[in-house]
Amino acid sequence: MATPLLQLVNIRKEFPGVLALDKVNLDIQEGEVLALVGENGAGKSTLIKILAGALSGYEGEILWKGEPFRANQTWEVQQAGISTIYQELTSCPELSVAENIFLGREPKKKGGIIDWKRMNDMAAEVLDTLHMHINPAARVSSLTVANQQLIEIARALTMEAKLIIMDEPTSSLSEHEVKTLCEIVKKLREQGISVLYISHKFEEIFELSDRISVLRDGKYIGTRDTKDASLDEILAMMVGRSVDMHFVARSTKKEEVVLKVDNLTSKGFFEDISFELHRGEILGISGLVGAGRTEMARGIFGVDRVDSGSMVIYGEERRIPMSPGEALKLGIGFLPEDRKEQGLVLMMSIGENVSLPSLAKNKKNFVISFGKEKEDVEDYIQRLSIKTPSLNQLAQNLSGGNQQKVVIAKWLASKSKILIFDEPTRGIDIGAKAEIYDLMNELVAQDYSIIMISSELPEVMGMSDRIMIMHEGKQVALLDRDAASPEEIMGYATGAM
Amino acid sequence: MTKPRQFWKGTFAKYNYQFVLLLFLAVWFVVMGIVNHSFLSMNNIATVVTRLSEIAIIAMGMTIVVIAGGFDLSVGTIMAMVPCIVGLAYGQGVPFAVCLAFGFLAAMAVGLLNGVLIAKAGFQPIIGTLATMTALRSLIYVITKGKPISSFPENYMQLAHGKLLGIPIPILLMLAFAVFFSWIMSHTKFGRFVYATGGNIKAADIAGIHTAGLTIKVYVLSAILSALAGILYSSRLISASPDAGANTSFDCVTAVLLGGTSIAGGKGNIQGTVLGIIILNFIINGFNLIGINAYWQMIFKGCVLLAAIGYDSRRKPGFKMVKQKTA
Repeated sequence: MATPLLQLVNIRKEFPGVLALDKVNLDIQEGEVLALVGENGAGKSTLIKILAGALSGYEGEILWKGEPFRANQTWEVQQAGISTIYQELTSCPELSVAENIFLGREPKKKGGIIDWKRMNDMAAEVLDTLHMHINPAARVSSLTVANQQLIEIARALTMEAKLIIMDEPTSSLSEHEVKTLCEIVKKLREQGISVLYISHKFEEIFELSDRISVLRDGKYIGTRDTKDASLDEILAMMVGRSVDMHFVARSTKKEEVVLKVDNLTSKGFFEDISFELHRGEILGISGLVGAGRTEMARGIFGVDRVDSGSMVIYGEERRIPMSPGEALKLGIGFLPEDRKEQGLVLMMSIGENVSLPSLAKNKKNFVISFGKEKEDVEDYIQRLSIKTPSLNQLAQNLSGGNQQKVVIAKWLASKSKILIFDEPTRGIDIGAKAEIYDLMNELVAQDYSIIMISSELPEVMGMSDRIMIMHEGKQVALLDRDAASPEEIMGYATGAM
Repeated sequence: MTKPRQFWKGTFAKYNYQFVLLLFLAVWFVVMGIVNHSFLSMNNIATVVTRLSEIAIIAMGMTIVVIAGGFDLSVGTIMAMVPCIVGLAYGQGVPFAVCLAFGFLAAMAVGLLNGVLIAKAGFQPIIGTLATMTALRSLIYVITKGKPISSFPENYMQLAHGKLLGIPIPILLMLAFAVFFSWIMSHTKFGRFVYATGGNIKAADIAGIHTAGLTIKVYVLSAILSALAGILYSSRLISASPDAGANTSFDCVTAVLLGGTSIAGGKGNIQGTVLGIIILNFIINGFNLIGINAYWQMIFKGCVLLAAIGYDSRRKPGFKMVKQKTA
């Protein structure tokens, strides 16, 4: 086999407390499309950032055309011939197409003045090779997202890129636009350009790629030739691990339905979501990022408005909350996915944070009763074993796990018994995770009911009584825990089943 | 549970900065007392404090707005508008109590407009209040035809010049408001929610706080306090000028920041602002007494503002973390 264009040898990257990549090996041949797949958090983004020169401090070696290559700056990488097209577009919307393509490399006349005519001609030329009929002088903001993406590809071509990394390029494209992009990727391959294609969409992956590499939990699992690989095999590689033994069997789920939603719809985010939540149950919600899970949770809690749907709480028909205050009165609590951004007022004390929803719920008592507040908060700090020297400690000084417990304490203190947890263990260490799981088990034993959104399969499978799976805003399956296999869940989540 | 030592440590950290301010004020009094004999005279101190009461009352409202994560440029304009409305109406023979009601209602309407522009229409506070400030100033010139108004009742001046128990009424009002609003901010749900909203509006929303309504209330409160200050100042001069209060919002913000309130919201208190106003005014007073040209004094205010904001950004939560990340 010829020398690979790019070879990664034992790449290892550690963030404080998290091993993001461990002994990752990859190679890409010239003129090859290599698909890189893996669950959320498998380490794909970290790998891309390392390749793009946006992240330093890794161990291992990168060989570019057989030579060791260590880039610390994004422009060095681009100069070497690697271009990255990120999920979020990075063009300057108020500049023209040609200006964006040649940003920082504008052709100049003598005296340093930009040669506009030449720049526009060159831009037209490269756009033509992509079969794009766009005026090079048009503003980028006037283009569709798909065309803006193609501008970035055009930019990569003018830099004579040998390898183009595409990070979920089709996530915001329509079906027709996806087809166009696929054609372009194939054309690039014909021109001998390699593409590292990161995606969750197996349809494209099987259509486009020559080989598929799988990452899981920061580790390199393996590579298969696409023509020999089956979907089941790839799914098994993505999820293939035994469910953590820490999870304990529970039988706290009762017959009584505490929350029932029907046909919940918010156009563009999610549609026709219906489910029942039982007393003492943990209902897991699985799906990929962007499946509409968080939006649905925010809709139920009244943070965002929904377009239609109905809700029954404790057997009574209720209107869907128009504000979090209303949800709070119905006895719902919400642990948002980003505790620092939405869960806590970091510069306030633990005590002040915990009592906020209780104060908001209680319309009486203009004056705060400090004695009662202290008593309540101390009670919950003890019950949730939040480790802090005092309740006057500022929330920003706590560890991630303890911060998460403070957010949970907020809702327990306000007597909410239906709890929506959005990624409750995101960004906290293993020990704290186990504590949160214990806490959740204890809560359902005390007749609380929990809806848990989670992107981690072991967590969903280990903690849930039932699992609802969402894909592109639709509810695609509702499985009993015992009936669900990881491959099945991943298959539904990626839309492959 | 709270150990006394931690309590004192916490309290000291919280008021540490304000102790420094107090110390500075004390040093300034000693130094100026030596340099200039009239500085420490009862007459001088009473005059300065009476004058600063007006702006201190506005600055209290501004403090609450800033803690809630906002900013109010329109305070000076409201201060100018209210006495003009009151005086014009009284000149038309309207009973004085009704005139006052007109004035305060107009101020509340402006506060409501500010609040709605910011909380409901989503304008940046500085832009929303800049718009009302500009439009309102023009409205004042239209209704007054650009001339000062001096049609006030005979005993109107008693408000600013009268004394109770030997203390000028404006000082008493300022002290009463300071005590009242610092209690409101530290002991009531309203105060707690203002801190929460300014500290993290998303988290406050999710905690069930009606942050939009709260924001509106805060701007209305600021407008009412500005209106009251307008009444005090027109009572002091027995005249209402359409030009009044041009620099008021900036002077207030300088004092608010100097007093330790964070421009990013969520942090600060009323006591600090009152201290800030007192320091600024006595420094200016000292400069005047030793004959430093008034034109130079603006430079000093600018420097104070920079120093206060510099200090503020240095103690923002996570400042060190951010530094490390980018390094």
